[in-house]
Amino acid sequence: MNREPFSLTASEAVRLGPGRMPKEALPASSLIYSSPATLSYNSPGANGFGVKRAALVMPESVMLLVSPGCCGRNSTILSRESGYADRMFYLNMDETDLVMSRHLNKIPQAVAEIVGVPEKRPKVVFVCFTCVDALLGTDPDPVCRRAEELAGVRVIPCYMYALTREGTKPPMALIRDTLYGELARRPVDPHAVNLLGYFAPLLEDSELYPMFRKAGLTRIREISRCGTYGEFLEMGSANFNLVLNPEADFAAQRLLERTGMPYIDLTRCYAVGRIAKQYELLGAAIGVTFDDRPYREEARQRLEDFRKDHPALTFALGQMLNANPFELAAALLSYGYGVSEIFAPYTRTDFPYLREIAERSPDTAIYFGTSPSMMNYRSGAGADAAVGRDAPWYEPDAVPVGFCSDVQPFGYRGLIAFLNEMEAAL
Amino acid sequence: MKGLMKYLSPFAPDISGAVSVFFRLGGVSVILDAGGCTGNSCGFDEPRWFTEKSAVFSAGLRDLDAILGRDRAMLDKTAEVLEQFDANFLAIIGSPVPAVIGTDFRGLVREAERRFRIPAAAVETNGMDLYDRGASGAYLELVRIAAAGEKRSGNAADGAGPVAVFGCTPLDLAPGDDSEAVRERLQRKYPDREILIVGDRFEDLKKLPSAELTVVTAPSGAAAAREMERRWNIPWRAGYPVGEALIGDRNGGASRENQRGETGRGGSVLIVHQAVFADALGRVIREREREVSIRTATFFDLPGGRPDGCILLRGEDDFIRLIDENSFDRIYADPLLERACAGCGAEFIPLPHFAVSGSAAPQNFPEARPRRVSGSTAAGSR
Repeated sequence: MNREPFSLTASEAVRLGPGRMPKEALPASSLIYSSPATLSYNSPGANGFGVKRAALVMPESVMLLVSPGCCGRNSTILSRESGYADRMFYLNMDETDLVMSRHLNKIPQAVAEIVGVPEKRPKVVFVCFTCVDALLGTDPDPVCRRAEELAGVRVIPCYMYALTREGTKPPMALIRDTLYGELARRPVDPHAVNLLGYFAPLLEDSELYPMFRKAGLTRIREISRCGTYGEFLEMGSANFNLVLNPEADFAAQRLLERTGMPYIDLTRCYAVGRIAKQYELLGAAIGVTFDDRPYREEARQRLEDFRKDHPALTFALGQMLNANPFELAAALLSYGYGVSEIFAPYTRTDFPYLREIAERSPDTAIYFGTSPSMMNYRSGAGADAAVGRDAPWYEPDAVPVGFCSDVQPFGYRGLIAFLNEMEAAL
Repeated sequence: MKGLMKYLSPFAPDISGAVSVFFRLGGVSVILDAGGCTGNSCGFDEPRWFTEKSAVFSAGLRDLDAILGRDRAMLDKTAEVLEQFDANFLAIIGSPVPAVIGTDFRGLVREAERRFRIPAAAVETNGMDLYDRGASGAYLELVRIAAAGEKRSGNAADGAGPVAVFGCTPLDLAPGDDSEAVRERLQRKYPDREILIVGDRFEDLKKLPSAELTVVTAPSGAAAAREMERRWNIPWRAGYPVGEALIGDRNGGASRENQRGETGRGGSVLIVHQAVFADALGRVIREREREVSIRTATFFDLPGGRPDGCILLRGEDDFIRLIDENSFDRIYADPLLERACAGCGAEFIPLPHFAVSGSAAPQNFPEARPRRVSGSTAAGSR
């Protein structure tokens, strides 16, 4: 009887290679353990931005969740904590609905009723369907059209299909497509760019804003900064989309196909060299040269100061943080720090980082949070800091560093934000 | 409209009730879902999840599992887990997915018992019913496991029979209570009897057939109590031992009200909670106040589990109508319900119920201060 939590060292992961991923890296290949740590990310919508909260980033919108009561239960708590309770409405299904699809007939009237509840009438109603309707093969479009006619507001179907989480269009990719699918092409504004990927804005002091403005991109739009539905629709005039989170790739690709709006990916990194390279490649792609030197110098200086104050630290990294834990681990190791554990499954795209980790710290342990064997996990790796909302559960004696705000760090100032949060926690 | 919630939000579902009953019994619980239902149950309806370990897992169903009904794959995954734990039993718990695809739960139990050689239980929850129904199904399965154990090893009791208590999950209990608090209060009432809180220890199940009395502290336990009566002729009664912290502490929110009541406060009072506790709290207030008229209501209903006079609320429309049609002076209810009371003019006294507002509510009752319900009304626009 094996009672040890499953883990690999970084060197073992690299030796196995992307062709022989452990089955623990694929949650659906085993039973799933929802430890308090994994609840931050494993239950769709459990924390941060799940489908429901993400859809409600659309200004002047409300949501009707059409589902068994259990699917909306987390919103009872989270919507109050995150301040969107007044914009959530529920149409609970019963067994007769399941058999007869009777709930579909109720949706138009339900939408007409809920738009009258908020003090200010919403402009958009999302009707969110769940696994049950996926299995029933419901076609939501005619229902939403009928609701739109009856209620006189825009009604958009969206999907919280947990059954498709490891599919080609997982729920969080699909919801981005739903949101940006509202955009119609407007006359192109050469000075406009959209930042896609996150449901909250970048840090106010991110260097992206001044660097872009200096390069002539003076109208930088993010959905989370749009105050009205009309303002959101203006995103249709962007010269191009900048995708900051790969989960938005599908939506960006569909925008390209549907409206001809091009897109470029930019990866969030914490290694200074990689950040510089990203800006260089972006500049080459859009035909400008970004002067990132002052920001790079500022980040280097902050890093040096931090290293002087904290010359030797060992980190445990979780999965629920504003970083790719493998890229952050590789960056921290390159700065001379230790990384004892990473609690996150890796994918094929993480191998460049894994190789760096294995080179500098071959024994860094990689755990898979949803593996049932994690019930047997006992802390004690001796990390100084546990980074990520989930990491302190694994390493309760380490200094907890959430680094998981809704507002998103990015680039050099993102690294500075990380170091500042570390400094405050230590 | 039936099923539409404009002011409230969903209560704890049947899945959470079942998980809650099995939580401490040293079994392996597998919820047949994609992951979200398990996350909801553990993360939002089970306060013990953050302080105690329990082997609760999601089956991690994906679309092809549901379409092809790959039960064997689920049992294979379960087998891997059972290699890592000494499980007392296996519990298989439903969700909307098996409800749609028509999973054969009884067949799964038979196959699991044959393959793993441990007792197996199945609760056909569908995510559409409320927690009490799931808890009720789980309690019934425990009685069935106890009966099967009795056949194998005989009646384990010696001396006076114990008092078996059903309905003590965190979803059932009064604010501030835990099962140990209920056990201590019942021990004072039955000093010569062992008090078995069903759900606290797996070993206790074998004593169930020899119980002298079953006490039901929430409607979720009523069906199991009736089954105990049917199988072993054990009498049962419903009642909740209301704690002093709730009714006697001068520092407490409700107790302050009650103390004022002793000087003749009275008036018209509505209490909304699970029916057995609401009834018990109503009796306490009635004893302490003069000229008081008390009505109780509940969203949670099981056949035979609701005391006479307790009003069944089938949804938020029923609740709003009840408030509209009656001029209550005081309303004791979960804070989640306050939004639907807006404008009714009653004094709203928060009475948290974990099955309603979960971790969003202050569970420490004295911290929940009474307040006058005013402002724009839910009712006014109805």
